[in-house]
Amino acid sequence: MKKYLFGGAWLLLTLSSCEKDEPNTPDPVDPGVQNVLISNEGNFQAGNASLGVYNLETETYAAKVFEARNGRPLGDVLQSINKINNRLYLVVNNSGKIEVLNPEDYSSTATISGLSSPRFILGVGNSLAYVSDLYSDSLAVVDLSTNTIDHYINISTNSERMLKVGNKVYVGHGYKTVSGVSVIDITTETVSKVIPTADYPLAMEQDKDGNVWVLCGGDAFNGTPGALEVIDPATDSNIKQLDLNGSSYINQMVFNEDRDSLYVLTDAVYKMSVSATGVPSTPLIKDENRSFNGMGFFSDRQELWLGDDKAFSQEGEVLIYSRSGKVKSSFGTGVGPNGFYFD
Amino acid sequence: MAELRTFFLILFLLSGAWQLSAQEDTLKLKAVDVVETRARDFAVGSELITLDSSSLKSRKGQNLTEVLNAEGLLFIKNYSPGNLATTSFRGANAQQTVVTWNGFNINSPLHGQFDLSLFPVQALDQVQLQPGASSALWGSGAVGGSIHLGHTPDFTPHWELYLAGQAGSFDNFSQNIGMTYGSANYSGHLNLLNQNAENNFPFTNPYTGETQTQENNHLSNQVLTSANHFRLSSKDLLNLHLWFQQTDRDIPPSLFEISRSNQRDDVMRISSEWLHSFQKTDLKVRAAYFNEDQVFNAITADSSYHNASQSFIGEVEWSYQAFTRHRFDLGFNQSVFLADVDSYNSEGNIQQNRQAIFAGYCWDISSTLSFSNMLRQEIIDGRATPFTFTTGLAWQALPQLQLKGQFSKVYRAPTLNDLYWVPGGQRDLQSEYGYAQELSATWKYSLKKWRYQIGLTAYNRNITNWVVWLPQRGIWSPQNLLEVHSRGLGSRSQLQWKKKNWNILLNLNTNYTLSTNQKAVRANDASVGKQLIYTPIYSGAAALSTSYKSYTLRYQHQYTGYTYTTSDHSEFLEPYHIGSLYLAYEPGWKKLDGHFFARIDNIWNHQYQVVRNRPMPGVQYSIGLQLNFKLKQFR
Repeated sequence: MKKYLFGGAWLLLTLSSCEKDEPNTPDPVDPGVQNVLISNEGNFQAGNASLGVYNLETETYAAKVFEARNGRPLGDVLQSINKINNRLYLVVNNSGKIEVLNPEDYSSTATISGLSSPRFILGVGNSLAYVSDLYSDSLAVVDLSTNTIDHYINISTNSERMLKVGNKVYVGHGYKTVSGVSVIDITTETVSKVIPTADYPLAMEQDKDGNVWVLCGGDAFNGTPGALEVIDPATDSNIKQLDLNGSSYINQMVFNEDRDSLYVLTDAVYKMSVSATGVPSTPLIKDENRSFNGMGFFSDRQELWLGDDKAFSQEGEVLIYSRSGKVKSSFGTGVGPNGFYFD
Repeated sequence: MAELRTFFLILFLLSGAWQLSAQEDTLKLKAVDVVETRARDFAVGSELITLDSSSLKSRKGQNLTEVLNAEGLLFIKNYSPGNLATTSFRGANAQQTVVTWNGFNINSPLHGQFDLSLFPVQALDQVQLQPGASSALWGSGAVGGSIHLGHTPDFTPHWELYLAGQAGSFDNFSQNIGMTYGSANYSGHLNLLNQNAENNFPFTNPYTGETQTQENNHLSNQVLTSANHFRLSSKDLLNLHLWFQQTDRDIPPSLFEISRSNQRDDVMRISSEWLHSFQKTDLKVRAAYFNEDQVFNAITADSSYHNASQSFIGEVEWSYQAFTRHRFDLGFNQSVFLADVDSYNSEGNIQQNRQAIFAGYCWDISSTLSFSNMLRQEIIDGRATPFTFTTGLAWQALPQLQLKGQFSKVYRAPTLNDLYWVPGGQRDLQSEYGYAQELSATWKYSLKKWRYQIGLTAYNRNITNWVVWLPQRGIWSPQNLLEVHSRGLGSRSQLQWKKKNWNILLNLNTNYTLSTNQKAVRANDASVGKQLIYTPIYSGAAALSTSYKSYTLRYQHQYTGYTYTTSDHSEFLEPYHIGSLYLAYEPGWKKLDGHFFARIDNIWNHQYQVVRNRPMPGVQYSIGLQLNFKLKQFR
């Protein structure tokens, strides 16, 4: 009988397992050195969004900088990063908040809470900023001196990217509801015009002539294709429309340093001139077993940075390309790198 | 719910009416259990584990989730008490487990999974587990193992009414009322259950150390079940099973989430079977209808999603006993699924037709050696799926030692979501398939008051075309990409000591499971060769149960090892130990039987997570009672 009991005890012993170690990460604070901030979106509901800091001089990546500096995880789904008046604003979408950081050491100075599903933040002067929202039909106007929501601007639709041109803010309607771009007069805080666009206007940038380019992804559920729309801010009307092949939920657009050519990321990266009359059929960079989710153009080095989210099931990777589309280097990041801030 | 009330009335009347016409019929008829017949006769190389009825009894007020967790035979991915709980059997995923109810597959045709938390313990009568590959028996999805829910008829003459109530921590209350009736030609069981819980438990935030309260976790659940077995003649058995349920659950946010959601499930299941015995042949005709209607409310997003499905299943099975040592089985199954799902963007219902033909053969080569083989071919919407088989041997090598071996081909068809989800669904998606082998040895030994049993199983399984959803232009789409190799060892041991009024039982189940992805599906893929997420390598459970006369004291302990939550192992959950203590008093009097219990769950108040950032409750207390009134006893 005894030996059978020992057999059971041995089985219990095999239950014990090894200890796990956390990897070392370099110090993100390196005075005088230029950094690139990487927003790692994290997997939806996994609460593993993180801020990464890439040191351009030592070519090292500091992981989970917010958590390391502030002793708590950043939250769920880091949608975007912006810098306004020497403060960093990290928009944490599914946590309904914006973390305000000191850019010198990444310490948290405040948290803007009470938001529904924030996407982007845009400074509009007078210490105010607009926050777009995936579910709300108004923009939240945040007082940056108190880091609280001061009031709302009702735009009767949900909102995505915003672009400030003079005394106007262009707000892409993003997913669902009425497709278009709302033009908001900053002084009166009213919608002066709604410019119709193709479905899902998701990215917006200005070219060298000041024209506003709007990248629309198209609606994959209803099968409408995407398009690039060009708006003349003098008249707030469409002056050009370039059709895209199919629809995409990934829609990133960046301009080069001279703002005379642009890179569009949908299913792959396409490069085109602002004078183009159609979207090129062959991509500059193919999405070969990768899922590119974030894109940035680093003007100082004329590099295109792409974030591969690897389906959010593992840590992502950033690939750095020359402007002609050749890979120069790559490095590992947190989960779901979706954007860059070239500080 | 008006329909519940009507059904209760009808069944009550039906039971009463039947009692008047009760006849003494001593003719015995062999068991009609589909699960028993198929698993024991035509898969002799596998094991069918019937859970002890006392292990169900001790979990009153909880769900199938907690019952199976305590057994420690499989891993359960549980988001929160009362909320979504799916299984992983031998390193397979949630869609690779089949759950049957009276022998009919009840996995959702929409997503191929089933939610254990929708099965309250008080609505269950019999739970059986069949670890291992058995697609040839149960069809698509029986890759890692299968779970069988059923009802055992009781034709011994009796009539009992019972009332039960249970109360536990965090406003957890349930009441049930039911009736069992038995006569020579009718066995009936009617049960009504009402369950409500707030589940607003405190937990320690693992990142900040602060104590928080779980929010948005309310549960409301009503279930009516009715099991009826009719002995129409000495050669004919008929059964009719009903299951009606409505569940309204709030879904708690994960730790960093602000969004709120709610889910409502309305379920109707009906099954019936008629068995006719000829001299050497049994003919079984069975049919089932399932209707599942789910509304998911994303409160923060102010939108709701409707997911509904209906299943119509018909099956004819013919078994034949030849020359005492040979048994044959031949069957045909026709299933139709209708889906009405917002996200399919279809103009009407999506319909899927499945036909299956299956054949079994069992040969008792000698008194100690048996061989069985089962074959199954399914056709889905006119397309042949992988042909499957299960070949097994069982050998009683010594009076104490039984050896078993099984070799199977298994498959899992894409779900309706895989095929029709908009955007992303792939209509040309292929079935997952692969081969599985297992060997097991069971040693049983008795000496005076001692009884000892140890079972060891080693298994291996390779699956190709494993479906994984990947984003392309941000649109998630299923693809037949992964190759998964699963292998492992399992042990099941039992030590019993019995003397007059005493019964002491020690159980120990352990699992060692390696389940690794063998193929790179992304550029620079760090998941190759690594253990799958939410698949612990080590897990196990032990229980010590002591009974003295009408008293029972039981301690159960469960261990789950490291669980990875990202495929590159950059993130993982810590191992956890969960203990529970159960004390019961079950007196029996002339006109009344009782069951009084007290239970402490997570007695060591361990703070843990089964799913990343989904906190689980610490210590919980519950008490309950059941009174069985013996309305009529027959001699």
